[in-house]
Amino acid sequence: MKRLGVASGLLAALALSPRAQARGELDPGTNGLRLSKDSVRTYDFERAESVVGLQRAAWLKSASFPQVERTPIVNAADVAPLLTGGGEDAVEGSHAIRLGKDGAGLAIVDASLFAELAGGRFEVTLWARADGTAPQLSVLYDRDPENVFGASAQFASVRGVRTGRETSDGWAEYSTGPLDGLVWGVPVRGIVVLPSYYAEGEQSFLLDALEIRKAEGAPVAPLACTEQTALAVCGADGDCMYGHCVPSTVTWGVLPSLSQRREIAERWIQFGTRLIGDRNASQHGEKLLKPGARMLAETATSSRQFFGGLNRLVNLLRDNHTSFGSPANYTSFAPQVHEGASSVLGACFGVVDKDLLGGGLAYAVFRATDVPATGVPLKRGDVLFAIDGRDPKEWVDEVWPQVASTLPNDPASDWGPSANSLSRLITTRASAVTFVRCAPGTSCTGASRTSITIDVASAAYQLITGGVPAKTSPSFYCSQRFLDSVTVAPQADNGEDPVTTMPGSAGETRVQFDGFVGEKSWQASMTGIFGSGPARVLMDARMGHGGYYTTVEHLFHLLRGKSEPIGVVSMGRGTYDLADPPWLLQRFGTCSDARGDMWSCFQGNANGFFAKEASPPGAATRIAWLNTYDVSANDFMPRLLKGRTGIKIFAPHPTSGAFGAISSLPALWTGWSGGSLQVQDARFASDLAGASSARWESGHGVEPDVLVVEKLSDALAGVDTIVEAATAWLASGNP
Amino acid sequence: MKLSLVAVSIASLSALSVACGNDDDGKLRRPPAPADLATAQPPPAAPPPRTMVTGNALPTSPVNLIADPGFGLVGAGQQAGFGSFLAFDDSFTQLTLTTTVESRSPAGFGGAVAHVLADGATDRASTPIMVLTSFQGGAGPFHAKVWVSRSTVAGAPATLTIGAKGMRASITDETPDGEAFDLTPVESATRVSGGRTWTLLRAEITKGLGYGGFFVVHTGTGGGQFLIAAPEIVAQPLVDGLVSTHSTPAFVRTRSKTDAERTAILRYRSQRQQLVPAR
Repeated sequence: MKRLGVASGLLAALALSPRAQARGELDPGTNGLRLSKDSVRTYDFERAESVVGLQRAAWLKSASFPQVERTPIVNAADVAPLLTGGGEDAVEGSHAIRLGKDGAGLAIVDASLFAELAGGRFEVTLWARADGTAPQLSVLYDRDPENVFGASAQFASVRGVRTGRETSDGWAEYSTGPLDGLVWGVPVRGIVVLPSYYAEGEQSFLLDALEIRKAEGAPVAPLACTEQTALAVCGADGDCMYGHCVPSTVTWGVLPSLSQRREIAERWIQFGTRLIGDRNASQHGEKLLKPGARMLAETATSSRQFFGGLNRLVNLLRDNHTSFGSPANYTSFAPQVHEGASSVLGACFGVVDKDLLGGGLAYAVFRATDVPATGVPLKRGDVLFAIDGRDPKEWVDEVWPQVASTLPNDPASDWGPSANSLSRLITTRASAVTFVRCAPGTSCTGASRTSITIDVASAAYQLITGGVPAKTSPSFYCSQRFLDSVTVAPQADNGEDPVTTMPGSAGETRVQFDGFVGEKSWQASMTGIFGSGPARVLMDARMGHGGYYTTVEHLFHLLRGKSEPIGVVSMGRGTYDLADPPWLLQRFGTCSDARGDMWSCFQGNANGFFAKEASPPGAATRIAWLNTYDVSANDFMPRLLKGRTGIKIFAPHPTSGAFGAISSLPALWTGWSGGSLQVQDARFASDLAGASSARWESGHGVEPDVLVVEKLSDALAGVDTIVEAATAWLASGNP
Repeated sequence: MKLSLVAVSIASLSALSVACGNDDDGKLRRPPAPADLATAQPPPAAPPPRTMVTGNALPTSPVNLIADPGFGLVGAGQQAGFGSFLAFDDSFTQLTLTTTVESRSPAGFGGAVAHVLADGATDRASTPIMVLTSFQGGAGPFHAKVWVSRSTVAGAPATLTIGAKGMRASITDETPDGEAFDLTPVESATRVSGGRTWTLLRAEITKGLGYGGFFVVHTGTGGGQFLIAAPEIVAQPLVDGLVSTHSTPAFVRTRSKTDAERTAILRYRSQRQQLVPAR
């Protein structure tokens, strides 16, 4: 920002003063707000007649995602009972309106108003007092004029937030801040004020002084951009999604005030340095999160910078159990990448060793559809050569931390998880990608190698602004299994992770499962598999999403006993000011195998177990354990099995390294879900005495015994390299 | 249909002018008997002067050692976690707390108020409930506080006593045989807002709590429902890293834990630990 000279600065300040008074100011004479006169529309709720023409909106609790039912208000008599009697029950004039009972609120659906706002920027403000529930102020954009929290996902939405201006008797100002009248050519369709989705019965709030006024500044034009050019092209207020600039209020939300940003930053510093149990992450918190969050609070000028920046700093704690949380954004502009899906590319990626292209790790297509939204079908084995002209892994390393919901603990584990999210990551944050395609059965030289460049941004932008093309294949979820090792369909969903089995080609029992969520059925399945002491088992856990501590322990005691003892002690940090005080192991070590009996074990988040069985039924079973995208309980299990006679771990890289229990965190800000925190760390040793000198394990993924990556040549031939290697070892009898 | 106070005032003024007006023969009519004016409401009292204040994002200090001071993890559908508040009745059965957002409460918009309503409670009698959470320990001194209030079962503001019939709050260390520190009322800080009285309970614990502890609120046998807002325990070294705060030293009484406190804390630990990644 240029610095004005003193004189011109004063003139500028004087010129600005009408706008500075544009928002309601407290008038001591009336003990209430005096509203500005330059609003485009003002609702002061002084008369019931002024509400006629609006709509009554109520949450539909039966819907699977947030939807409202709207009813036009045609009679003033219908809403007159909702007007308050003034005094402290109004902050402007003599009346306010009480909303919220039975989930009801108001909707402004005025096409002519929104058309007037379309060419520039505008702001919506209101004042509210929470008497049981707080209000939710939302501005909704859509191509369909009827879709206002309707049956289809909204095109774009912005949640109003508290500005920090409040009265001594419990009224607060909410604002959207400056918004664009159009987002990618799509207009506003509704301004909705509702109670919290979770409000019940009689819970209500008071609404007063709702204003819609024009705002300064130019809308963010949907210029072509990349993640690297976002600031320069889109400006400080912009974000870059689908290769085009978009206001960051539509992606990350409204920027909180300076004092609010400071509170949020300090709270995350508290979580990330003084309460977190992951010792490795706590050190990253001191080095990166603490200074970075404080700087962001002071300097951020957009929600992309502040929330995107904080999301990145929390991810750089490098703890897969710790997450910043997500904005309540159920539109295509949700800024984070969560689950992996095939997206506009119509393809999912995995990790390969590009043996036909000089070797080294790369991302390659594991599965593709015939009719993707890009119009350029990909094939299994297509190798990703460049993203926006850059090495794909370098691009991922730069972009992914800002938009991921969480990252692996061990950076060496990044390949598999990033591959799983890559299609959606490219769709939302890249402009163009280049692939190398090798003809199957060739050495991929000369004419047998082709290059394919896809303008992803154009396809994504067209899809979002124009709707789904007439014929595209359905999207599908991604997996790091090149092929399923078990092709039997899982049993009916009982809420537990399914465990499927079938005989393998070498006489082994093949077991495929994705995690340790389960008790009776899951544990019974594993007992059934190992109870008879099978000779050879292939455990395909390549999409391991974790689960319960008790379930890990159950499987452990089936497979490893006192003849090759090992165990684990998990515990929280010692104190807020010292993660590992001298008394820690002495105090909490005895919580292993005795948890539940001592207060200190609970308060210290301490538990654990050691091998106790003399002859576990599966102790002699030869087991090939397959990993790729594995975290949490899927860290614990291979860590406990590693080194046991007759077990080998096959994987392209280590597991995540998240050794501790996860705990939910409450939401810190309007329109955001709470994040999560790892509250323990773990030590592994053959006995308790050994645990006192063992390292804290979080941050160190479980290394494979056999480093094996899907070969590009195998992928082109439809062969699962990892399963082949594991099966061959099981059949060989070699140690 | 409820008339607004202004409309009623106009109606009452109209009634008076009619009652005191001249009839057609010029005689003054007698004013109506007071009973005839029983439905007329007095004009509303002028509200106290409003001032503008700066609202906080959070309900308590950012360095609060209580993980969930706004009760965001409490209630049906929410997932309890480390540092969540749990509630137990006198048979140590876990209860579900309900929460509301009351911007006139000390939590403001930044957090919810927890409502503690015992099963079968009337406005005169209730069974005791214990609400507690754990917190991380460390070097002291510590400052603990919480705001409390009381309602009738129906939710109307009611008088609260601090004691066995009403509410008490305490900090306990984490050992069975250790100490408990009672929070005491700060009379000068009592707030009245929206007809509800909020009482501040506070304690300063001069020693360190090396092994952490529990923040415990007891609701008593006097009936009604009990409200809890903005529980906080901060360590002075952490506060020193922020803007300095003014703390009013308060009396702190130490005592041994009760059997009820010991048992409730044992029940508190029965949360299944999850080893699943963040989403």
